[in-house]
Amino acid sequence: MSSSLEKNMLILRSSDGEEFIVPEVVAVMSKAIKNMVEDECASNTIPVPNVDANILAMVIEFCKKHDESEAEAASDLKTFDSEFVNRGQEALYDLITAANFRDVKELLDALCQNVAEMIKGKSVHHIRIQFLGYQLFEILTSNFIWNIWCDRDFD
Amino acid sequence: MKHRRKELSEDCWELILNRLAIDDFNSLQSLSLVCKQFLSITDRIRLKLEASDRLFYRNNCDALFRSFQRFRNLKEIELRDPIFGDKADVNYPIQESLLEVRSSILSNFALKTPFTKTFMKLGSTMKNLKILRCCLLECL
Repeated sequence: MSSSLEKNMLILRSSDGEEFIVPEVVAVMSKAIKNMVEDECASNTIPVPNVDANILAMVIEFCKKHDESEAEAASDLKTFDSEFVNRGQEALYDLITAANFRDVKELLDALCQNVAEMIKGKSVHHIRIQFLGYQLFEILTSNFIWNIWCDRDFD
Repeated sequence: MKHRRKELSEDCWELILNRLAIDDFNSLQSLSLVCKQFLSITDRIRLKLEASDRLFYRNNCDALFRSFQRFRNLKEIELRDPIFGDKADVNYPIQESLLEVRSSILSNFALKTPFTKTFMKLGSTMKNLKILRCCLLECL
């Protein structure tokens, strides 16, 4: 690898060992990586623990798009964001965890807004089942105890 | 007891619930019932309670009292259209739990409310109260 390439490119290694070559400007959209690069404690290969290749690829896709389209119309970016965050819940949770862990603000904002909108207006039971993975029987059996503990008044 | 498929950490949930709170603080009321984790998050981020619903004042302000117990970080309360029974008045919940409140808005009090007594108690129990806004009080 030539030194000029190395200067502007960084290699991110996911938790399962896959490596991604990304431009430094894209990688430093993650504040955590930016700090590492600024402090010069990063070699060319930066390990990204806790994030698997699948999720890391998505995060990189998002960062690349945001980096490229800085000059583009904000509405285009918004459309991209809303399409990007339109995923299954597991992927969403993984992405949020990764974005939070690596401190990628734009991504985290878009994802949190999406989940917030999904939650908005849902009933308590619905949130427990859909977002927290409670099983229906747990809710039915623990409802009595919940009612006492919460002293439910509104629903 | 819970079979969670994927979990989000508490700080992620806090970011999400914060977004809901931006739109409507009172939406946190029902979210606080979801689970203990949500309760502690809503407790942390919730600073203002708007008691504008009649339900708050039913059964001698039962619900209002419980809200004060549930949200410990309240800095601001707004009591709108309160209707109190014969025995209860606004003092009941306030004197128990609102020591930290800095700002309070009272509006549209019903004529029957014992005002002087209420305000004296407000002053003596809410030591940190900096702002008290009263709107549409026909008795003053």
